[in-house]
Amino acid sequence: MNMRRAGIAALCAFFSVAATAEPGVTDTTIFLGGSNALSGPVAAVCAPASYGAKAWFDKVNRDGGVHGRKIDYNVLDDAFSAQRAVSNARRIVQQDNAFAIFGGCASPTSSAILQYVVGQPEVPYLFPWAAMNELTEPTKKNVFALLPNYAFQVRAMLPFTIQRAAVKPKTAAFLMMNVPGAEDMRKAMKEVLAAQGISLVYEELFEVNIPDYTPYILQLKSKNPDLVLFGDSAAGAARLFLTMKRQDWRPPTAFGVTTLTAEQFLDPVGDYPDGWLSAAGMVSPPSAPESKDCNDALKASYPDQKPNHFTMFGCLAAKIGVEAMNRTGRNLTRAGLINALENMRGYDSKISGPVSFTPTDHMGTSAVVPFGTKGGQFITLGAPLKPAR
Amino acid sequence: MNFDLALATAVAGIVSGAYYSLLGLAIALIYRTTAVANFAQGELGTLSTFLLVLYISRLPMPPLLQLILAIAIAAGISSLAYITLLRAQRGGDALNLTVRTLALYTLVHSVTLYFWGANEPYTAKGLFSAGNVDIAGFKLAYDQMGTLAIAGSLGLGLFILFRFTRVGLAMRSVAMNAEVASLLGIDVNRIALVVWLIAGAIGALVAMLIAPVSFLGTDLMQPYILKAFTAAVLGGLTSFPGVVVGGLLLGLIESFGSTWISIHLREPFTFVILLLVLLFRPAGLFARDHAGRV
Repeated sequence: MNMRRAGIAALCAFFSVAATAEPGVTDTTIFLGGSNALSGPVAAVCAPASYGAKAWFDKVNRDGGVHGRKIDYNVLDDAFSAQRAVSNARRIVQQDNAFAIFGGCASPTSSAILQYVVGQPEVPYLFPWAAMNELTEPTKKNVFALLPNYAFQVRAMLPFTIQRAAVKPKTAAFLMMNVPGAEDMRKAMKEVLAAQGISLVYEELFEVNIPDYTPYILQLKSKNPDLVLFGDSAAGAARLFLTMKRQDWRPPTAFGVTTLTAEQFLDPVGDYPDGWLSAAGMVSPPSAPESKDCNDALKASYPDQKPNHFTMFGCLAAKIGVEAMNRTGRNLTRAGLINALENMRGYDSKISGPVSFTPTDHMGTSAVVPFGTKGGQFITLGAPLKPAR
Repeated sequence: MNFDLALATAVAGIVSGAYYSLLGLAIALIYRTTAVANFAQGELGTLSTFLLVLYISRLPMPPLLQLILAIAIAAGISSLAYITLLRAQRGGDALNLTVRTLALYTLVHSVTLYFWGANEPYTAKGLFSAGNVDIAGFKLAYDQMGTLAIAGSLGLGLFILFRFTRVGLAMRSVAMNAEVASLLGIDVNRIALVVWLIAGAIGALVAMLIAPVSFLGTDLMQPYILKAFTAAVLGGLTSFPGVVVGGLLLGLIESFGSTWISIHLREPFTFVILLLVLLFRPAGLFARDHAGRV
């Protein structure tokens, strides 16, 4: 009889634990899953974001973890394929039983994952590198972002770029990859240009990773605009700039979105954009003193990986994730994490502006850092910028 | 469109056309002598370019020797593929053989993705120095001039090979009728091997010309291989001058079409041309009558 009672008690205990246990959380570990382009056309740019995040988690683990639990962060390769990204997200949630989907990179894949996670409102989807309105507008209970969307970047940076130009531009052009958010960006650009009395003489969207930019540059050359807004992947933008060089034409002033703050863009083009390109940065450059702890963590986990803007972004995302889990406490639940994030105000990551979320605003940052280049290195051109109201 | 822009558009079209022509020549060479449409042509070029950029370029030897070594390795891999995948089991028909090249394409692509996909794209050092030359006010980039010079020299070299050498004569005989050529004492296997070797070298050279411009990734040659097939089809897969003209024509149509009409019609232009030729001139634009490989 005692044995029978003990068995029933054990079964009850088992089912009670199973019913209340949080997915991905054990006494010793927190399991986070992610999907990123570890191979394919944007791998060189995107993969470092995962390395930067993983390196910071490793550092936190070495320092004792989050309330004694070690973070286990596993990133699956989506090779920049939306289908693979969705199947990765499904696996992370349904098979691997992860606590949250963390990180990732690129708008097409992040957009695909977003479509999946809106149907899984209990699963947190945190901080992909994707400048899309859809992530946070309208607010989704489980989705949090850090990278201001392209329209925000344009509204914040374009007036600054126009103001900095040696001669005020009269004509402008828009050349952007066809990704989610591109149309919002075009609209924002038109608004800013109209306010400044600048006419838009050329506008084209192109498919990601086209092999030859020559026709675009020839068309731009024929229009000869004073200002060009470029939106492309880092490698694509490098190809585009080298094509301009080959065709012996460039605009007097240019503005680029955040991807043009990646070293993968600047390394091949060297000092060519010095003095005429400004781009929207997200975090401090790796060379800044405040970036040292992220760089040290990266070196400890990935000695061969050079610090860059994307490793820094990964580090920023991991710092905020760890802070939110710490604030949630020992009783780590998905609902608790979302609550902790929604109550985060003015968190100082040291490598970005203050990070704040509210229940109605899941975009954590509200400014971009104006980047320029000098001697083939990124420099900051001034204080963080917000869109004019 | 002003004159300078028209000239720049023409040069861009001719450079693209040169890539299509050279790759198309490699495809037509193999097709004419072994009746195989080699879909792996581009991927073999990509593989050898990875070897050049990531390994051979670190060897202590002059860049020109490094380039020659990489091209020789590519030629070796191509002929090895022929010996092991096509000649070893001849039983299959043309479709069987072509599907083998599709499998080889997938295999080589998977291998490059596995080993080098994580850090792509890579910056490949150009074969020519950066900069432009001023010709009566028109700026022509060194790499464009170099590409045209290499393509022209290669075309001339192949012409001389076919027209004035015994091996070239044997290749043409095998292309016309392998059985008769064999009865005439030509070693058909040896000729086929030489053809795969030459095609492998051409594919590698084209990939090495493209990589510095569009950066080296595992999909380096994918946009070019289908256009090379289009160039080859324009030439009827049988006429080498036809393939060259077809490639140049395709490059110019693409370039002027996308600059004058719409950039977004660049790819549709190519494949509409391909379909029209296949439907109405299956023997190629320059064939006098319908002729196929015997």
